[in-house]
Amino acid sequence: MPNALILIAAIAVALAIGFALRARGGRVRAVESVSAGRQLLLDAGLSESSPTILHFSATWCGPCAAVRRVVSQTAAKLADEGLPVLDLELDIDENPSLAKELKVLSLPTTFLYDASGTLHNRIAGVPKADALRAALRELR
Amino acid sequence: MATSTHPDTPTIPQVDVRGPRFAAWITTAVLAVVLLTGAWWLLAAQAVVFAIGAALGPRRSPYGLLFAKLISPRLRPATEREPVGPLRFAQAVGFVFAAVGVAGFLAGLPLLGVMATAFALVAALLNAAFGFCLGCQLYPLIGYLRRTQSV
Repeated sequence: MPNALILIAAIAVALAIGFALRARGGRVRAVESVSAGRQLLLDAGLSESSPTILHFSATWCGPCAAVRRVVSQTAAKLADEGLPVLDLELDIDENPSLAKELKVLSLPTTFLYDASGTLHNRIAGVPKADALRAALRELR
Repeated sequence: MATSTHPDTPTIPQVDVRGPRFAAWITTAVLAVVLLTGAWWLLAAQAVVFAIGAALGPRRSPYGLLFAKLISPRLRPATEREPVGPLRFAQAVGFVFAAVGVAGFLAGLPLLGVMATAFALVAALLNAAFGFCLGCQLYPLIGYLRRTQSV
């Protein structure tokens, strides 16, 4: 009987975690602007004339392909609206210092910078296209 | 015109995402039976399955072979794939939990066996029902710790 209770508890914990992660995944979060890694960002290719969508990826990251798709479609759509943005994808294994500065603990992780290179948003997981577009329009 | 900068993406081994999800459902069922019955030998068998998955990859694990033989031919071609590396790592994590569980049952510490099994079941159900691979999430974290030490 106690084992049945533990089984029910384990299922409840898994469902609670699963729904929480699903709700949180891909959400565009506003973040305090930090100057960390400024030179590293510029060296990596951060734009100084238009907003930048910086997304970390890796060859072993499955969902990163979905991020690539969403970001490139969003960038194309915004470009059509007259808001060019830079789609900057960096391999986490090739940019360890920058990943450390930005405290990238999991993939995919995406950052949104305005045209002056100020960080505004951070997204864990695959961004939702509508939310990503809305956040970038605010950086105009 | 949008500007984009992407690193080269080399070809790496990948599998149909439905394979690991199928394996996670079977794993969940096996672990649920272990929890209900306390059958350490079944947990030991699951530990062997985890070990094979970690050593040979998801495609050649027993559940992967089952998926390829029975399920995959009835499905539409895969549209989504995922890299094998994190999946193998996740299987290794599963093996550790299953091994601790078996050791607990055999050492007369059934609570340890039950708790290790319950943790493994949470991870397997998260993967099966939500496509969230807990072990895969630890994979980049280990890279981060390595980077923290080396940078």
